[in-house]
Amino acid sequence: MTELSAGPTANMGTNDHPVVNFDHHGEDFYRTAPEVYAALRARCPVAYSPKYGGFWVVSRYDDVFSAARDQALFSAARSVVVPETGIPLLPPLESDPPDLERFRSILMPALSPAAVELMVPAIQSDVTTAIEVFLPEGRCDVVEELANPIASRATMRLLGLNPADWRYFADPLHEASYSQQNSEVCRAARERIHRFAEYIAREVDARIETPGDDLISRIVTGGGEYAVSRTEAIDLVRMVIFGGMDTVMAALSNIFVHLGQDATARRALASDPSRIPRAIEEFLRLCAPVQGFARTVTRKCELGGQTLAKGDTLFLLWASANRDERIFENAESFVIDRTPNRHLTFGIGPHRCLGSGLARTELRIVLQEFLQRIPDYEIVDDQLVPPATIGIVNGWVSVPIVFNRASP
Amino acid sequence: MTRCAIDEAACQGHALCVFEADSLFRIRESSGKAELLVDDIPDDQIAALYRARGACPERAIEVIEP
Repeated sequence: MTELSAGPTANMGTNDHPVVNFDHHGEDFYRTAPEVYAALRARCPVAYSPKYGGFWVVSRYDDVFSAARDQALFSAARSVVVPETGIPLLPPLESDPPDLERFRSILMPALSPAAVELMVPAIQSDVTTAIEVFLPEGRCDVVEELANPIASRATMRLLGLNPADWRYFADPLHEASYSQQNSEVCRAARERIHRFAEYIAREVDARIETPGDDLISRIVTGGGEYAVSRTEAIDLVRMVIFGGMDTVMAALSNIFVHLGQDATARRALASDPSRIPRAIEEFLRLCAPVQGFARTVTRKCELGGQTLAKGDTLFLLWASANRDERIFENAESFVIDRTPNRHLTFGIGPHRCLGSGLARTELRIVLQEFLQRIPDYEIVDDQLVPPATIGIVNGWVSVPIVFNRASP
Repeated sequence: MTRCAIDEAACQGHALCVFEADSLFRIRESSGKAELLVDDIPDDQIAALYRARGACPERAIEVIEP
């Protein structure tokens, strides 16, 4: 088996394919991932890991790109996280055609650029309110006091749920994502996640009775031609909650850690906010909140020189594709204005993240409003808390910072 | 005149073309796909058109030179 961080060459397994000791839930993977990915791309771009019942790891941009866009050959209608969590499947992330199109058609208009624009004032108000609270203190935990409430409240509003209830969903989600998969914390959090269905069902039923103009109403009325069942409606609402909360929070935590350590970038963005959107793409490329998603092989085929069998699991590493030196110049470096920047952080093809526009808008508003008030800050290094695993979501549990209260 | 074609089967509505060139592209609400706002690309928009092509993660934008 290949030691990805140290070993010189890929050993061939008994079936003539490279076998690697890849474990995205490994304890220090949050630090070692970039070098593990580099080794995979260089030596065994499609390799087999025996962990979690066995799965293929796909690490080069071109292979990830083509596999993610081939929905006939690679099915998404099974858990896209490895190993599965036992949470009901999340449509349309974990759907194949024709359900895929049916569910996407319902969600898409609510997340279009025009729809996102209408959400800007509420996000802006949430962001400035959050900042004003910790501004006089000269310190804050960026995750707890900014990233978490902003991402969660935006998701609640999108659905038409009471933003004040955000912790009911956000807390167990984060606990489950950031703890070891077999831990007691994770098990307890997943039990609370299973009970989301009760809360969601009440909201769904209320809108079946009296629809309003929020996303849950749109889901239950289906815009006419895309009818969904009550169970499907509950699953779609759960999907939006999963998609909107953990991910944006994780992205923000990564951005604040990077900016805390990169004074040049911090000053560049504080002095010229018009550079923020491109910088966000570069943060997303280098620190993908989701490292990858899995697919299931539907018939025997070849990918990257390896023969895959029907039923095999394929783990597509967005985060490694994003660092592929075949596509990106100085791939391991942060280039603040990188153009073009076709990273795969939101996925690619028919399953690409439908909330990408909303996520980008949240990130932009947070950075603009924060850097305008706090152009300079320092991370309290010894209080920075990494997650126990980045296998599902890659972000920091806690990012405490200090700053000068007299900052202009 | 320079023209442009969008591969509708490939387009997934990421909207990055709109970010690069909002006077050339928009996302159609009904289909979630990008659509062109003009047939002929004005000279002062050609640089933006190439940026939009470069930004499209699905590689769905083709530039057709005169």
